[in-house]
Amino acid sequence: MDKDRLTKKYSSTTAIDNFPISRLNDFLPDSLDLYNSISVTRNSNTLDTEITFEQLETYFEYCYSGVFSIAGEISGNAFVQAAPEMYNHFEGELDEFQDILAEIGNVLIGNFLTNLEKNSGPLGIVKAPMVFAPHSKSTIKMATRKNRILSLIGKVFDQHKCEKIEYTVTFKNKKFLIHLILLTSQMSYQDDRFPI
Amino acid sequence: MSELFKTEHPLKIIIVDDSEFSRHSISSILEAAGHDILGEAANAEQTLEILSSRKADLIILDVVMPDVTGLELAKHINDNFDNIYIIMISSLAQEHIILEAISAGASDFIQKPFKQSDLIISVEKISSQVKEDKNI
Repeated sequence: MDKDRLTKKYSSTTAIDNFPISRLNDFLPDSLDLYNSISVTRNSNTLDTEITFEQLETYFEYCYSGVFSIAGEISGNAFVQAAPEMYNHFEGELDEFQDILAEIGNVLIGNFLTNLEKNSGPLGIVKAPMVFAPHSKSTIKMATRKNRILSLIGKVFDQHKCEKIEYTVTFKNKKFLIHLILLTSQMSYQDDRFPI
Repeated sequence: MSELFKTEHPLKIIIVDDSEFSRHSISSILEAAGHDILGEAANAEQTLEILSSRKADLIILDVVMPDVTGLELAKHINDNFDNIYIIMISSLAQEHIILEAISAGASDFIQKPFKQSDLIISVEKISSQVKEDKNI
């Protein structure tokens, strides 16, 4: 794999700009409340569209992913990544950490996809999201899946539009940052990238 | 409907969701409303195990689960068990999913995240229906 190409900073340009859905962030929820126990709040409307492969790979340790396509023209992958601080808060209770991150990711991505479909028409492929966590019971399987995603993303990194949105999760009076990352590209370029 | 609401007609309920956090949260809401939680299940296998020994009035069922999906499980329950109502829950509330849920036998569909009152109102509707069924 060409590491130089994978680690270069990506500047979004044309891929998705040609499509009517050019502002995917409009469909992201501003805030969510999970049973009065967890609140998830979007920090700002400013999107980071410059994401390096290294950031995807190493900045946050855990991620949650869903795959979708729009009108047969755009393929996308939505990640929710948790900062190591959130993982550390659970003091080794990996199952509990993964369970809560998965539910946050599930609701965040699910609401995004639902809003997106209401505004853009039926989505194509919607894959059930997966949790990737290297210390889970299925360590090898999870790590393999994560590596495959990162490899596929890296392979075509310069063809993707990347958007990163920061959310604050409040849980048991503690605040943690998570990132929601959207990777989208024209399906005409699609080969074996998606679905996972 | 407030958190202090108490049902007049408690139901026997099973909560099915692969998220433990979600299961416990839903159980707490419904127990506080006076319902009897027969059990919690993380997948289809555990659900059928509970159903093999307990008679439920209602199943709260998540759509997205590993292996057997909530939609598949709803259909199986609808085909093989009598008089069990199903409320499906999911963060994905696309039209085709809601239609599939209804087609699979769900009486209601609630999008996550939901307010406590949304869940309680939905369950109360089922409670009234169960009472009516028993009177008939």
